[in-house]
This record gives sequence, C-alpha cells and structure tokens, in this order.
Amino acid sequence: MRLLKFLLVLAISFSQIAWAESVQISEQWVREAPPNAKVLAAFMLIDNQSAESQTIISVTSPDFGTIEIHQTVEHDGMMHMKKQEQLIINSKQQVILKPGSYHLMLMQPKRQLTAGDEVDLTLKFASDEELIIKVPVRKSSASEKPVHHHH
Amino acid sequence: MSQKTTIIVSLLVLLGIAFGVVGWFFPRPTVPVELQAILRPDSKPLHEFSLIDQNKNVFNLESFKDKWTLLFFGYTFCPDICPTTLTVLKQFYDKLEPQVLANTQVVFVSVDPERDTPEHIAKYVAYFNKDFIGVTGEVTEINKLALQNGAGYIKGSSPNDDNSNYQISHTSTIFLINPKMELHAGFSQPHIAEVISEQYNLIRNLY
Repeated sequence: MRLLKFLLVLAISFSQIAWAESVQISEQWVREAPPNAKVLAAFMLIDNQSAESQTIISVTSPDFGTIEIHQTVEHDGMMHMKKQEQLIINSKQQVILKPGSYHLMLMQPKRQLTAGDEVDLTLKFASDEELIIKVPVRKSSASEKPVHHHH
Repeated sequence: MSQKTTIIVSLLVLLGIAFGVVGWFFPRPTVPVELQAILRPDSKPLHEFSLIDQNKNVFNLESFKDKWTLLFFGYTFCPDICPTTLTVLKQFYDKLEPQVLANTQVVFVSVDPERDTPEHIAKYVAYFNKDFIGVTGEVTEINKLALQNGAGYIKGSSPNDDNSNYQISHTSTIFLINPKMELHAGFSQPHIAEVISEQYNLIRNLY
C-alpha cells in the first residue's frame, strides 16, 4: 500500500515536471512605469509544446491587487482594451504578449516597482496546473521591436 | 538664320516638348510620398479652449503659438498604449537637434480628469521627460480641444462597484500643431521614434 502511494506520488510529480517542461514561459518582463502609476503591464512569450491546447484562466501576484488578461485592439482609429476571460495557447504553438497587443494588466500595485525589481506571477491553467514565474521589471526598450522567435 | 542655328533651335524646341510631355505624365508631387498620409491637405486653424497644465498654469490656444506641438490624448491609468506612446515621444524628443528642440513641445492631454489631477499628471509625465507638458481641466474644455483635432474617447464601464477601475478607449494619433496654431499633421500607429523624427524634420523643412 505504502509503495503504491509512493509510486502514485512519484507518477504525479513526474507528470507535473513533464507538464512544466512542455509549457514554457520566456522573455517575461514588467514594464517600469511612472512612480505614481496605478496600472502596469507584463509581457512574455508562452510556448506550448504539449499535445493539448493550454488555457490560462487567471493570473495572480502578491504584488498586485488584481491582474487581468487584456488585448489592445485598434478599431475606428481608437485603441481599445479588450478583457480576455482566458488565454488559449494551442498545441505546439506560441502566444506572444507584447506592447500594443496581448498583455497582463497589473492593477493596484502594492509597492513601487523600478527596473531591477522582480515580481512573482502565478499563471493558473484550466487543467488545474499552476506556473509560478519570476518576472523582472525593466525600462521600455527602444521602439518596442517585436519579439523574434524560431519554430 | 544659318542651318546650324536652325538645328539648335529645333533641338531646343524638341527638348522643351519632351520635358513638357514628361512633366504632363509625371507631375512632380508637391507633398513627398512619405508624408502624404500624415500631412493634412490644408492646415486647420484651431479655436479657443481653456485648460490647465500640471503646474496649474493656463493652457489655451496661445500655448501653441510659435511652437511645434506634438499632442497626444490619453490617461494615466492606461496600461499599454499611453506608456508605449510616451516612451516613443521621449525617444523622439531626447534626440532632437538643439535648434529644433528649442521650439518643440510635447503635450499629453488627459481624457480622464476625474482621476488625473494636475499633481498626478505632473509626476506621470515627468517620468518620461521633465519638459513634457501634462494637461487636464473641465470635461467640456477637453472635449473642445479633442473635437477640433478629430480625437475621440469612450469611457468604459467599471467592473468594480466603486466605479474606480474603468478603462477609456481613445484615439492614439499623435497630432502635430504648427506655430500658427493650426492642426498640421497626424502620426498614426504604429509609432516608431526614428520614423516620426524623420517625418517631423521633413515637415518643418517644407513649412
């Protein structure tokens, strides 16, 4: 019985490790904002190498009151913020969160963040898995060039 | 008239016709191609409005006089577009030649006077560049300035009960006002500092 339990635990942890390896976050950053900004944004590249599509249903952080997934869209010459209830990353696909596009809207910062600081973000998936990532704060780079990646 | 003179005159006439024909088919554009989508066909004189800047000084039509103004409408609770645009404007402004810088101003007009007090805007714009001007005021006066430029905004509903967490959709064009207080051009998305810089210098040279 004990052995079975051990094997079960082992199997679960292996599957978690396997899952974490198949869903990877890279190039993550929080854009440094003016000291009195009430809203910040986080950007990253999410790579889903698993066989199933993955869905992010919520994002939380000890450093912010609320976090929402948003998309900036242009319509009739106006920029709109479209709240996304979830973010789907198809199997073997990547989704890029970048300025002027998808981003995490970080609200009610609990401390002032400047370049060099780091925040923890917890991405919660529909599969019940969670990814905790460390995200560095940095200043906006020149012209916000799109992220290049290889397939 | 000698035969030589006749030939020269004939050649000159032919050459004239040739130039005429070329000119007819390929008229020289008065506006360079790269500016056609940016420059207004004719500059539009702006009318009086009354707002205040981040130091609570009057900001009105006169504030545009004798300067080139890059005008942007936004709000400080804006997570993505406003910081992106202000960063581009900072990169643009920081690289201007001193004689161009002398009569160039960057103005950020808040379309969210409810939350954007002068004190709040002061800290916000100074983060990008201490020279930047942040403007706010009465909604009716903000609307007066926005409408004249063809800028619009729509206040969204707040998901919170306390009505504090609303977003505002807004025009993202950077408007260019000339020293005669006329709307001269508009830079639309995507905004890239080097491109705006090139176009801005070209517009000034043509003026």
